[in-house]
Amino acid sequence: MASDGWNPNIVALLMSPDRKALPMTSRPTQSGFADSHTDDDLPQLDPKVQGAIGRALQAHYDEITNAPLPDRFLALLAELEAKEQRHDG
Amino acid sequence: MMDDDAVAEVSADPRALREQISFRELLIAEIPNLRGFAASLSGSIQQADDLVQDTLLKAWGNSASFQAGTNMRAWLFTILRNTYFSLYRKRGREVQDTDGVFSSKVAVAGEQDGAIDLADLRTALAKLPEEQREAVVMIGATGLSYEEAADIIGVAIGTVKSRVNRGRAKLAELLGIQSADDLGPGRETRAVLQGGSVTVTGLSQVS
Repeated sequence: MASDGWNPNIVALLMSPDRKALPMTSRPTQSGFADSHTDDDLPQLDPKVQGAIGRALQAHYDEITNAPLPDRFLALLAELEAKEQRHDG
Repeated sequence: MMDDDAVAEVSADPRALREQISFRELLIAEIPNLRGFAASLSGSIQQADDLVQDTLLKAWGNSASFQAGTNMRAWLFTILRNTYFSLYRKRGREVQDTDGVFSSKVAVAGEQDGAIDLADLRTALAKLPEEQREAVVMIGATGLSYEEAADIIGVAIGTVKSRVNRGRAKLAELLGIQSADDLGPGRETRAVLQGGSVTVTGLSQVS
């Protein structure tokens, strides 16, 4: 697939069997020369899809960060601090 | 908590003492985030906690290089990902198998437009190339800005944006939700609908 000159909306149309699945946003095509890492070759994700993914990512992360801390970490830091105090004495 | 004897043994400079205490407290405050990021990188809570332990050790040893008042989370994330890529990646497989390594498999509830099963999301996340996975999680879950993520990873902001976009697109593909039409009710709701004899606009559902 050529990366120059392809409108992302046209790419999405060709890839999608159902025209209702066209992305709801459209953006002007960038030249792509200033930064080799552009997203012009990627069809835009449907905002509803992006939202669902975002919520799921946050839920995955929050479940871990909200969990109680295992003892090992506080024990480690207490031990490190105690060693430091012994050296300072 | 330190007792009076321990306080007397420590450096006589009360300012240094306060900085020592606050550094430790700053570390403790970031441990949950470190676990979240580490678990996302490695796909395993067990490996994540080992990684966090190593990160805390290194952070403690390098405390002199941390400037008080600067971004502790970014500093710690840099240490953690450097440790992961230099030590932990070699131990495990490129693509982690997440079956059973996370304790809960809860569906993301409460949204009209598509509940993505948490287990499905984690399985898909583990299949992303690591550079996309870390970018997607940093930007989508940890609260870091694009600029902070770019500093931590050591690439241009545009590169981070590209990896995030590619990662999200890949997740959508792996989850089979590339259009809003693919977002349906959650797994549980779908199972209920299929089990019953729900009639939709005159057509009967075949189970």
